Amino acid sequence: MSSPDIGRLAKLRQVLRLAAHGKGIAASIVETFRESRVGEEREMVKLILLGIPVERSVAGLVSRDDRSRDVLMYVVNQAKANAVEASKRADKLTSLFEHWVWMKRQRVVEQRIMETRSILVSGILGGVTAMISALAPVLASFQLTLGAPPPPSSPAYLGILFVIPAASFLGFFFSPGRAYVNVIVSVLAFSMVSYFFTPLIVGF
Amino acid sequence: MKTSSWDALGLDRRRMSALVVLVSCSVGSAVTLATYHILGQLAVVLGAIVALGSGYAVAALPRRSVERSAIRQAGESPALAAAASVYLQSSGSKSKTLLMIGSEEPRLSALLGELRRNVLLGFDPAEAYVRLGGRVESESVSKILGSVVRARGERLADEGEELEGIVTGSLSREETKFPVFLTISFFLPIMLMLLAAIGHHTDPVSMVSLTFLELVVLDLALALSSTERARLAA
Repeated sequence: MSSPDIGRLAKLRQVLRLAAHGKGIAASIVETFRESRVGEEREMVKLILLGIPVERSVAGLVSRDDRSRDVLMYVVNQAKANAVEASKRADKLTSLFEHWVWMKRQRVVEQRIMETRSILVSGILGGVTAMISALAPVLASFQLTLGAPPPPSSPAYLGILFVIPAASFLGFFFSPGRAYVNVIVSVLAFSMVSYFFTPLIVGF
Repeated sequence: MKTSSWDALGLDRRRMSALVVLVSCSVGSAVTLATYHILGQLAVVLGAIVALGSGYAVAALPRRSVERSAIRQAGESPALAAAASVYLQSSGSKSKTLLMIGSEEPRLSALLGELRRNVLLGFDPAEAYVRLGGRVESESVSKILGSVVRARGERLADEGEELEGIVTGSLSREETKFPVFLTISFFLPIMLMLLAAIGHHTDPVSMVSLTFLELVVLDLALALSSTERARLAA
């Protein structure tokens, strides 16, 4: 949720105050938004001044998916019944929505922190799996079970098969829109560790 | 497992049960078959656990849908309460108020449509509301509609307590599930790599089988862990 949403809610609160004092909804919107630099808001004012009904004039703003849209829809719809009463009640509604917007912004910040953590975990996962992949020939030589077959040759890069799905799921969980970042980071970490670590094991 | 959400969505219990059994058996069998040559008898146990988990995930899908709907309804309830109050005060009529209020949440919108139809058919608002049979998912919305149809002068307001409660509960549950998912995603590939290396399962067939097992387990973990995230994003 962006700060323009908070700004718009504050402006709508001003609209409601004016309307509660008996000014019409259309006049209140024009007075509040006429200095606005936002294209949609300027368009709305222009349409109202041209005589287009408020309900149709605000169409550009109500297409946005935010809390200010809810308040705007409420004001426009209820103003037809009783503008003064609707505005009085909507003032509390605006405070509540502002609180929700603030909560949502907090959540967005937490989400970003979690995304960063998931990217770090993906990188570490790539590195650790690369080390185990590189150590696979050594680990395979351990006789942990009776009658184990001789260790087949195992290419060090096979571990990537396990890293990519895990990094993808981490990405899907924490940042569904940018899951590829987790995959890229884990693959890079895997490649780097494999590049530097595998020759040491081969030498050993 | 609560199956009341199946009824709320009008799903046939027998068909839904059959679907759950079919999906869980398919996933369980696939995991058992894919990992039997690597894990032996243990693959059957693993298959059974995965089958149980996937059965639960499928059976809980309707409940998640109902919960998302309830959250959206709870989010709309303050505006709905304010609107109903204004309409009730302006028109002085319970029936007119019911005819005027609306919602953008599809399920609530359909219910309000049904309510309006019953009112237009001549039912008393209270009776029309009773005929809905308590199908409103949100407690707040249910209270608001109940207040409108009774209209005994009580103040119609909603401060969003239900939504805040749901959000707080979801955040707590998410805090529990977040480390679980992180641990599974981090350690599962490492464990599988170790299993492949120590157990000499590095041939292509075994590696593909283990990757398949990893995908199934991660998908299951994601399905069970992401409920709260989906709910909070609603």
